[in-house]
Amino acid sequence: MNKLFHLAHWLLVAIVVISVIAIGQAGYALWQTNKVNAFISGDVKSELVPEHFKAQFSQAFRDVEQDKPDSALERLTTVLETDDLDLEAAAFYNRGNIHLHEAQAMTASDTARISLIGLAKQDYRDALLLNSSLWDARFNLELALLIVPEESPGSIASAKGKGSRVVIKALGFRVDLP
Amino acid sequence: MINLRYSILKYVMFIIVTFYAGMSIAADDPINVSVDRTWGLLLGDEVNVKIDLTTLEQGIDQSSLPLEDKRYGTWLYLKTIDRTMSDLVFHYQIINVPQKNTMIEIPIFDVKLSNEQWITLPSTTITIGPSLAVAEGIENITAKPDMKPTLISTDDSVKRIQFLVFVAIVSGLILVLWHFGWKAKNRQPFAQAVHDLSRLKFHTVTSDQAARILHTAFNHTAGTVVAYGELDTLLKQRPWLLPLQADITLFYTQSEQHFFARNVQQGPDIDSVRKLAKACRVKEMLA
Repeated sequence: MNKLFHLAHWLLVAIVVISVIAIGQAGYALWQTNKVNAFISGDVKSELVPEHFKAQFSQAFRDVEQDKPDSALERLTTVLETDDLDLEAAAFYNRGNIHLHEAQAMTASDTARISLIGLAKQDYRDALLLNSSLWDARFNLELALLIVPEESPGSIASAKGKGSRVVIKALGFRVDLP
Repeated sequence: MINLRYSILKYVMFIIVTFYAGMSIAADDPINVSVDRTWGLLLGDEVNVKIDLTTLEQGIDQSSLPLEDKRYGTWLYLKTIDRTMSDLVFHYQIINVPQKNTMIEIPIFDVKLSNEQWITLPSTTITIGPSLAVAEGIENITAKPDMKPTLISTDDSVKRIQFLVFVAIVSGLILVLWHFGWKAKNRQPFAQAVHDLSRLKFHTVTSDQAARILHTAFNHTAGTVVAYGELDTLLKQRPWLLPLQADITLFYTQSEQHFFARNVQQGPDIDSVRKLAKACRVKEMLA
């Protein structure tokens, strides 16, 4: 009986000690998360962008607002390495928007326009593959398809196992046509 | 004899006709194909095409199935194929739409059976269409804005911390109650002694007070006043104090010399009294 009491006593002591250590660790992690959240919400202005992918995404969003699309593209490409599928889809979508806006700013005769629309379409499609309920991505993809349609009468109803990607597969950087 | 030949020939003919009729029925058994939605499909929608394989006598060679994660034709992207013994389900996504509602054909694939024979999986049609009205031109259509950043959820961390604090408080409370008891009147004698001695840490205390507290604990444990000569009785009544016999005897010796001897000597020092009280409490707790 004594042994059982001894065991129970030390078990309780161990639980208290482990709980206190775990509280410390979780509290520290929460403090770090709150710091990143403060950066994301813009409460804290800092030159140093936290490594967290959501912070990178947030900085990319601000870069677009400050008319720095190249920096935003670079950050969004980094965000694509995340395991968070929703964030990855959002990064694809925002990247598609950067390409689309750049293309819309060009004249219809500019040859780079088609290439940029192609990149935008690819990004929107990747976003939709990850999350098909992104209605904004559907909308913008359809708009991009209206600007540069992909219909080819010969391809309708005759796929027969011979698929091919029509869109340009380059990701994360601009392709300037000669 | 002629009748016999005629009869045999008739039976042979009957068997041949039955055999070929059976073969042709088997060959004409159609593979059933169904789609979960056939119309009203928009850009980004997912379409699941189910091909029923129950009419096939042979299984399908999995390696002959089309590649997944690949665009097929102008409109569809094949995401995955679910394979079971009875059916194949092709999960497509619509990645391109025409400018008006159009009936399109699902891609046709040739697949190999386990007997090396190739068959063509049947196709079906679906109607896809645009969701944007372009009658007034695309110049009036504004692209949707960027997605705004979202905060990292802290709900799980907060819940975890709350749970850990709860566990720590409950465990700590149990330990405190174990050591000191719920109420003063319910405390065991040495628990009370340890409690009183620890309270005296913050006040000026004499060795006399400390010794009296410990004596009180021994008296309550025995249920009577314990004098130096009655220690053996106490230890017989409370055998869990036996491991501390030497220390208890020393305490009582020093105490007697201090309180009752003609030449008053130094009583037990406060630290040793506290130490003995704690040791007794440990034994009392586990008794």
